[in-house]
Order: sequence, then structure tokens, then C-alpha cells
Amino acid sequence: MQSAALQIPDDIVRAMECGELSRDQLRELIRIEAESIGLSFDEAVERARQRTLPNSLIGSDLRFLVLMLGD
Amino acid sequence: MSFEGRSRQQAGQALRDHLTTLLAHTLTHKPLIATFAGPTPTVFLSFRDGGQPSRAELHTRFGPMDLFVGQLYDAVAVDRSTYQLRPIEYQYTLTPVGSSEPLLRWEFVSTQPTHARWCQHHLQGPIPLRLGDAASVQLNDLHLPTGWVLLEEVVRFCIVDLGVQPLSADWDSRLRASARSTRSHLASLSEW
Repeated sequence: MQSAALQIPDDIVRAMECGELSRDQLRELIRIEAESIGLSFDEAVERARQRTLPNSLIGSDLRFLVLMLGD
Repeated sequence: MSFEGRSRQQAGQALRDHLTTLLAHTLTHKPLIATFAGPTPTVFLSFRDGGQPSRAELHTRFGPMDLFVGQLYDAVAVDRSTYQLRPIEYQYTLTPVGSSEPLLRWEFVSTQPTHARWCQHHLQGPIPLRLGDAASVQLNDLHLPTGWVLLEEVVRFCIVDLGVQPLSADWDSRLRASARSTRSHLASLSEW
């Protein structure tokens, strides 16, 4: 099952496909994915670190994005 | 296979290219995307469609299943002109199409929640297990140890056990060569 389409800004898509996400862009991507599953940015970061995100495509992706954010 | 490059980007793109080619000769033509982010020297390999997380649909003998691939690497400068990729975490999942949760989830978790002591390389899934006379428990409630699971081995499982039609005649030798190279790299990382 694929998730509903997320509204990801073009600059973030371009940075992902042929460049590098800035810290702000990475945080924005995390926020967008978090909100798509009913979480705030802070909740998603905390749940990623506690490994309590949903076992879903978005949950898996969020875990990796939060790890990229660092501490 | 190369786990090195003159920059973080070059190292990540070389590995992405290798794994995308391997997948294109075995399971799927869907390319992996290498994502880089400024805050940390990491490289994230996954399937994406226009920036959105995605999976590759496989046609197994049990019906269609979606394959998720997530690999996160640290790009470490080993000298002035060489960056080496070192795995931080991986996750591979197989989800029957229409299911909300993966049936099988192989993971390596580098950072555990506080007080967690379970196996960092494990397999989970919503699969009931009968252990002794107790009521069944879910595999999701356990951390079944696996050792290091290579993407190549998950691909092999999909072809041999799940009956996915391989995309080339030399799929077996390609998987063997790639797995040999990956194991050699993992063995060379002294801190493991």
C-alpha cells in the first residue's frame, strides 16, 4: 500500500535528487512526513528515537530522516 | 563494489549506482536514490518517487508484495582524498500489497532506546509464534537475531523462496559477487 501523495516543495525534491538537503529542508521534510501520520515534528523525532513510529512506509522513512538530522 | 569516493557524494553515488544496477539485473528496475543532508555526514539510500518515500512492487508466487530498502551510511574521511561509507542502520521490508504493515522486517539498529538490550540485527513481523504452552506471541514483540543481513540476501530470498522472476540470466553470479564484496568491506571495518 503506497501512502497518499505528500506535498513536498520543489526545492526539497531537487535537493534530494541532485544535491544536498540543508538542515532547514531536512526539518521541513520530517515535518511534512510527520504531519501526514498525525504527528508534530517534535513527536516524530521523539518517537523515532524511541523506535515507536508506525511500521509503515512513512514510519520507516521518518526513522532514517531523523537519524540524518543528528542530535 | 565501491564503498569509497573522493567526496561523500561520490562515495554515496557509486554505491547507489552499484545497487541500482544489481537490482535491475535481479528484482526491479526502480532506481535507488542517494539522499545527502547537511547536518550530518550521512548518505541515505532508498526508493523515492519525486521526493516521496516509495517501495518496489514485486510479483511473488504468493501475490504482489512491496519491497522497502533503507540503508544509512556514515561517510568517514579516511585520508585527504578518500571518503569511506560505514553502515549506520538498514531496514528491508516486504509488505503484501494491501497490508498496512510489513510481513517481514529485517533491521540493523545502531542506536537503541535507553535500557534496550535486544539484538541489534533482528527480524520482526506480525507473525504469531507458539512458544511452549503459553499463548502465542507476535514476532513483532521479539527481536529474532539474524546477524548481518545483506540486501543481496534479501534479493536472493525474493527470487528463490518467493518466486520472483529474476531479471537476468546471471542473477545468481551477480548476487554472489556483490555479497562477497560487501562482506569484505564489512570485515575491513576494524571497529566492528
